[in-house]
Amino acid sequence: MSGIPHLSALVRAEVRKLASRTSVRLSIVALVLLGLVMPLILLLISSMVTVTTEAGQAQMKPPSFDAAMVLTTVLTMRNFFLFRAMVIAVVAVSFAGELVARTLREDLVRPVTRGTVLLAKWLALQVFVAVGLFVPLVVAGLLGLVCFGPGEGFVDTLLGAAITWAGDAGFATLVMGISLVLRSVPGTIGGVFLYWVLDRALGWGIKGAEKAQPLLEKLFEGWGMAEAATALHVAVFLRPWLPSSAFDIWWDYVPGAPLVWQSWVALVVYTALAYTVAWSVFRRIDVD
Amino acid sequence: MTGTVALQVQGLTRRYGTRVAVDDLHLTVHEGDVYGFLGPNGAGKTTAMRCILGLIRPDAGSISVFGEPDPVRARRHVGAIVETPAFHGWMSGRANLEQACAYAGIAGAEVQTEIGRVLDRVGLTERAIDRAGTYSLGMKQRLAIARALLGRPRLMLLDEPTNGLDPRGMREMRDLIRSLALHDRITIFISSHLLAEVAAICNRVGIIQEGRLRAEGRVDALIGEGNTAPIVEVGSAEPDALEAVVAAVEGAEPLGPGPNGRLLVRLDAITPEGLARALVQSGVPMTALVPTERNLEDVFLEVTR
Repeated sequence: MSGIPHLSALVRAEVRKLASRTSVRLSIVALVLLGLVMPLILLLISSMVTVTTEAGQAQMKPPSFDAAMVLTTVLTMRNFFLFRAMVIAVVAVSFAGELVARTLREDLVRPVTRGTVLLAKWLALQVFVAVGLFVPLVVAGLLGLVCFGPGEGFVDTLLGAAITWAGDAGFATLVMGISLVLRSVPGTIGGVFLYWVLDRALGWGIKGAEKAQPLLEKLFEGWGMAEAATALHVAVFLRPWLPSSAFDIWWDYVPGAPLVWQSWVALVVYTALAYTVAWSVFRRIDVD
Repeated sequence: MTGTVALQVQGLTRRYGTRVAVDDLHLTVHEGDVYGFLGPNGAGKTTAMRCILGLIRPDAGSISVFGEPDPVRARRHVGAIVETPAFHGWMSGRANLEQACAYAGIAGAEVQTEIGRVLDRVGLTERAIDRAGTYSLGMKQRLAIARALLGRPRLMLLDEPTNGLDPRGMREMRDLIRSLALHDRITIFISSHLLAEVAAICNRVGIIQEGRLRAEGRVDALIGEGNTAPIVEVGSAEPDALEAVVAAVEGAEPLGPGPNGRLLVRLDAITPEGLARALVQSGVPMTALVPTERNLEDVFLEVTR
């Protein structure tokens, strides 16, 4: 007779399954390559700009790269589109994909609650998120240390990486929720990608307007557009609470500056909300 | 049969909008039974099985397995194949079973022992390291049986387990199911369209139509009871004309084509000789008129008429 499975055993099984997926393996390979290639590109740049005179003296000072800068560059490259696209693909096949392929059904006929199944799959997803952060960081960090030395902002950069992890964890939860609501792989990929692009455009648009706020407010007043000035003010006030500010919380991180607490609160709220939606859907759906 | 109730379904009801897929279904499967769950397409068999397995939430009713009403705890006793089994095609058969072990609560050293046992039971040991996606349909069905056997279930729910199999595969599956019941002492609950298959392996059947159980009992008892009017097979080169003529003959009722394509006719108030005379008089060419023994198919056709 079967026993009641332990959550840890289910998480291990889900991690093993994720690790065997082609999409996950390709993602890890791409992230390793990113961690390898970026330091080498910076090394190439630093060597190319070193120009010496006939007398043998340096004419141009090469850029002073260090491991912290390498990490920052790699993180930025990873955070812009690469890893988020990977998260969308992996979540789509792991949740909607398993429902459509009916492999999830085979797990649900076992002596386990749906809540435990969802939690196990979510925790396995978080392992992927963590691996997807630390693999390029370790590769690029080690290579950066060897090539350039640590630099002064190394610890700050690692804090930035931790903040990135929090944003990724929340984003993966959001995609999981959408995937279970839509229950379609193309729907999940298309829907999340569309939301993500629009949300980012909105966030960046407001952020750009925020930087030019004094100038824009003067222009609006000059044109007699008091409502536009008020709307801009409200938008700037709301920006830290937007999903883009929450899930891209690394974007507002400035070493030494205070953290934007509104975005942290929003991140926790949106993540909890996404998990709750995922759970309420998963708990009730009929599985074919 | 020991008298222990393996599966008890009481008042099970499931609606999809205004359509009632399963309507106040009651059935009882005793330990040791090989229970055939029969019904025409859309009768509610698969919905009922999915409710029993917790894949679909019933609107009303209760289900208990070996007296255990809690659905999660009840599933400790159950192994299942629901329609076409699904696997992670990129993983080996063994890796698929390792995944299933985690969900079956099998851990530690027991995992490999249990996997070895079930692979050996279904004869898949040699192909266990191959990717499941490369398996034939028959091998997938056997792998599904192996997966369902993990954890030594006392009750197996099999939904159309011979679907899509060739005659050899169907024979192998039938032998395996028989063996599970006889040697492993597993209670079997099997849904199928194939009445000959069910008749060959089941001791009890339930017939469902429009979501309701219309008949339930031992196969031999069902065949022996009820409408005992004789049934004959009538062959003709013009089957449509034949059916129309038979429908017009008083005391005879056409039941539809039988397994060999001939028209089955129930003789409620007419003798075979009388029917033959009527057909000759009608001018419909007749190639055969053969008395048949009442079987499970007759019972099914009568119940689901």
